[in-house]
Amino acid sequence: MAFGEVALTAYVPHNFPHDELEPGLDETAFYDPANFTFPGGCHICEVEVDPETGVTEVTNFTAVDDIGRVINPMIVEGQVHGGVAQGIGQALLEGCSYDADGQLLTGSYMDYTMPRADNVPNFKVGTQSTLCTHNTLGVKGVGEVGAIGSPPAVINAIVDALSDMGVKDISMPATPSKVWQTIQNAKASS
Amino acid sequence: MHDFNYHKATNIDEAVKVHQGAEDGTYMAGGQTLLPTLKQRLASPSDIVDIAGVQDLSSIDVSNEVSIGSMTTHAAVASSSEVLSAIPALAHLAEGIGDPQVRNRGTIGGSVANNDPAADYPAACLALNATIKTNQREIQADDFFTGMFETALEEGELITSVNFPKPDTAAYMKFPNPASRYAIVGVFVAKFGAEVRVAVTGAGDNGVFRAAEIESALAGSFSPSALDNSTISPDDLLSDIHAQSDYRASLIVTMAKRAVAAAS
Repeated sequence: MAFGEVALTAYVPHNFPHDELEPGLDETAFYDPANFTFPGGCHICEVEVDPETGVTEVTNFTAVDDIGRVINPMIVEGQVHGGVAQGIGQALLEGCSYDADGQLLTGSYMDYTMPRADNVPNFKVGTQSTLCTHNTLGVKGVGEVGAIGSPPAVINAIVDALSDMGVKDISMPATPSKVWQTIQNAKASS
Repeated sequence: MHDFNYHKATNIDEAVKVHQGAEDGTYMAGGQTLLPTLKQRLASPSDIVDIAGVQDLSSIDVSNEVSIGSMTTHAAVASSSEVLSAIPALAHLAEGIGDPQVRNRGTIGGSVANNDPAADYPAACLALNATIKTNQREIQADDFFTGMFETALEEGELITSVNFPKPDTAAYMKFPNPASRYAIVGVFVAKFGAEVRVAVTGAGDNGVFRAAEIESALAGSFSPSALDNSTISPDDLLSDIHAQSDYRASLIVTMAKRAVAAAS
């Protein structure tokens, strides 16, 4: 009997002895990896900062990650796109604010800034495949690599852009008002 | 949402009469502010008088001036070839309001009557020295916007059109809130001969206002560099999590410069 016939029969249970057998076909197995996997990569971000308004535009973003063997390249690229967009959101836009009484001030999308399509450039995504040595497929995780590499890349690009003014750090999210204030502080202290 | 009585008026007289007879009535134009406010139970009018079906309020007439019926949608203004050729800055302003859904429902009369401190149209009205026509009288823009969400409209008074004189040149420059994309600062600059009028929305703690310092600097020389030494006091400006008042003050000058550059 072929597997397809078994599966069909399992879900067409009118001939089942129901006191002995439930319909359905499922199986659960757990895999405990012998070790963690360690994807690594390099993210390069280019920004333009408008010194008059404090607005940062991400003009170029390239992400290359080593995630071992790539089984489905399209899913991998989409996952990295989503992660980089999330990371740009974290670096530039998203932040929870509370007032002195503990009232959340960013309780809706009128105030909480999610990254939108016009906040991100066309990404350049690449992969490098150094196979993982301790699982049969040679795969590593790709779930979070986009969101891990991008925030520091964006922030470092902003700091680099402002380094001539003596700026050494800026906290996330680097909103237009915060970048503008950072520039004013740098001008005042120079 | 609380209960209310709904009336759909077909002409101005009927709308005004129904409003007069209501205990606590309100007109509804495009509903883009009113409906969210009702949903959040921030308003509870006894009666809503829907004027979407009133004839003759959604026309655009261009002669010596640009007359826009109060029920004209932002999308209609944005795509009007007559407005585009007479006052391109006004069409561009309308094109930048909200999103496509808002632009296809929201109206100029509703926007002006609501006088939201971050709305775009009040800046155009003030800078272009518009006349707001109602069922009772004509009101100059300088007298119309009296404070945050406050106007010179009497109870039950209905805007029928907004009339804009044609400037020599004009431009509107908006710095949007990164989340809501309402104006944090919007500056409308208009030049009429030797006179320059500059209106600022989004920034004032009492709603839209004219920036006298910028107007006088530009009257001397209508160029961005005329504003190189201009400053705006942050004292009467809004301050919130997106923009502190001194940042808004700086943005006003920056947006004014960019508007002048776009207009010249």
